Amino acid sequence: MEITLWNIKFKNPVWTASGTFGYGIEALELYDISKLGAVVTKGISLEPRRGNEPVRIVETPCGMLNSIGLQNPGVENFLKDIYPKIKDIDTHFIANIFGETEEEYVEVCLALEEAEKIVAYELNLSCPNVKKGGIVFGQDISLMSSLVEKVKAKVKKPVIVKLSPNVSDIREFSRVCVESGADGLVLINTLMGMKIDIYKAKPVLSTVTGGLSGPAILPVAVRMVWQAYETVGDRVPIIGVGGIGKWEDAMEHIMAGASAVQVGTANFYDPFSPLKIIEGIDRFIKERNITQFTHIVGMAHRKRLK
Amino acid sequence: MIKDVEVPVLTNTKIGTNTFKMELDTGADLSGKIKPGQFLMIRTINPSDDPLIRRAFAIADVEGGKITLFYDVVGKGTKILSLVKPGEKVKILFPLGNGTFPLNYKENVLIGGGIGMAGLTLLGKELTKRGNKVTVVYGAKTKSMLSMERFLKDLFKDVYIFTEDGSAGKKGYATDILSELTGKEVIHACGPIPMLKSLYNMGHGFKIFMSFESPMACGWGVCLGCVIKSKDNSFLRVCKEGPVFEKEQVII
Ligand SMILES: Cc1cc2nc3c(=O)[nH]c(=O)nc-3n(C[C@H](O)[C@H](O)[C@H](O)COP(=O)(O)OP(=O)(O)OC[C@H]3O[C@@H](n4cnc5c(N)ncnc54)[C@H](O)[C@@H]3O)c2cc1C
Ligand SMILES: Cc1cc2nc3c(=O)[nH]c(=O)nc-3n(C[C@H](O)[C@H](O)[C@H](O)COP(=O)(O)O)c2cc1C
Ligand code: FES
Repeated sequence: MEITLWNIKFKNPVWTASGTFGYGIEALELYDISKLGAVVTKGISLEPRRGNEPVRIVETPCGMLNSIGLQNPGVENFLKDIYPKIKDIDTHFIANIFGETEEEYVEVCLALEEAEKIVAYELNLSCPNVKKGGIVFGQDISLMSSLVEKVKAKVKKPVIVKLSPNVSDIREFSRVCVESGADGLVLINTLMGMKIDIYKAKPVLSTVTGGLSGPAILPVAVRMVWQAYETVGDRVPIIGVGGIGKWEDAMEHIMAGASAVQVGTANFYDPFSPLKIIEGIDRFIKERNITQFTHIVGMAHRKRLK
Repeated sequence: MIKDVEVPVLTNTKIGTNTFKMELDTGADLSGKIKPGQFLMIRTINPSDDPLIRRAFAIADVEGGKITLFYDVVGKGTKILSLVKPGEKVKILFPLGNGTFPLNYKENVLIGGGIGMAGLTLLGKELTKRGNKVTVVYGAKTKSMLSMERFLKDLFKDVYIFTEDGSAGKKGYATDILSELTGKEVIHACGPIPMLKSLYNMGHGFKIFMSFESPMACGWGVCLGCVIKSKDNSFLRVCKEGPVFEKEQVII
């Protein structure tokens, strides 16, 4: 099931999603993570971030809300303390990156240019731009466009952009993002939601709102991958993420147009799910005598035309 | 290594108004492999995505391959767990937690509030095995909630009972025992946050180790949902650096 994207060979199209797998180190206590197609790291920023006050997570029907607040040790400590522990693991790492200004995004990427194990950057646009009154990068088309152009102008490695689903028209954001130079799109980040504790008559999460993830968001993610594929699928690869817990869910993303998928929340409730998904996709393809994985990418679009 | 296995339930018995005791057969030899304070994440094998997240429970006892849990039915997850019949399987991710109770002190007091007592029983057994002295203090709101009393008295000689309404044992809080203790070095505690807070504020002169609860999505260190504040004002993961912390490490 090897796939090639941006001239990089990946063992398979099943990766772990940012913020749901740390930097891969904890998982070494569970299984051999070199079986994964890639690991996308927890978001990395220029300075260390301590994250939000508890309560940070709460379960919701078929899903959960989180407001971790992008807790991370910062890029310098990442390189010093964490990178040495992953640099010999036999799979690719993709660094998930965020900042509060365009310059921060660029600086974090530049700090990682020499780190060979990191094969690409995934820009997380769910962060507010402090220079632009706190508007979230991913929710303003011109902020997004400018950021992607700036990063692309400075860095050598492929830049993929993780889009926010909290926008009115994902097609427009996809198109502009690719025209600004993105080498690939990742859809979707969490959907904004909230939960109220009726006995305390107050929001459960310390930040009031949080990001919804898990099986509950699968149909939304599949729809957005589908629309992005229709818009830019002939130009860049699309990476599907959102609600994938079983191989059948991954297959929906792939048939909607995903060239690879990321497993997120399922790592929490079913830690071995990425491996089961790899097996499931492999079996599905073999049973149907499909010779190449790429033949099923976007397959549902082609069937629909017939 | 952390294992994720489907194992049969041996017993799942109601032992109090709201409390169940569950025994699992892991089929493995666990002797010496579980450290007191460690926990597991459990769910039924029902393929439904609701409830989604596994529930955390202390490993209250280990004998050969058998694991014992004690749990209170408080919501959806524990209600579903209480309906599992012997012979049926459940999924467990274990053992979890690197912060565990120390076993090297001679004079130990174990203070358990309510179902929190389940987080201390394995510790008591291991301390006794090593020839260290164990005094168990078990507190609950009222007599009917002392569901672990029999289990405790079978295991330990020195058991003190407290109830808030005085319906059994002494009237008061488990932490009231502090004023009566002499010659003890260490307190190990597990229970509701108000109990841990009062210990935190009054337990001078003792070394204090506390096992914490916190909402957990993964139990193995990757969601960063379960954090507690450390003395240097950063965050520690209850599931990974904990669940047991020495008082000096954390702010509550
Ligand atoms: C390390 C650890 C050890 C524990 N050991 C025991 C034990 O031995 N016996 C026992 O009865 N209980 C124990 N608990 C608490 C137990 O996990 C909760 O009572 C249980 O998750 C409640 O699930 P529910 O669906 O019935 O309740 P609901 O209230 O419906 O649960 C809703 C959500 O909140 C979470 N939640 C609710 N209460 C707690 C809590 N007190 N702590 C953490 N998360 C909570 C649930 O996991 C779930 O995600 C432990 C918790 C932790 C973190
Ligand atoms: C606890 C948690 C932390 C996350 N942290 C990040 C992050 O740091 N950067 C990021 O781009 N996405 C982050 N995400 C979003 C996931 O990578 C993923 O896009 C989202 O959860 C949807 O996929 P899922 O339904 O499979 O979880 C996080 C999600 C969760 C649940
Ligand atoms: S429960 Fe996920 S990090 Fe602790």
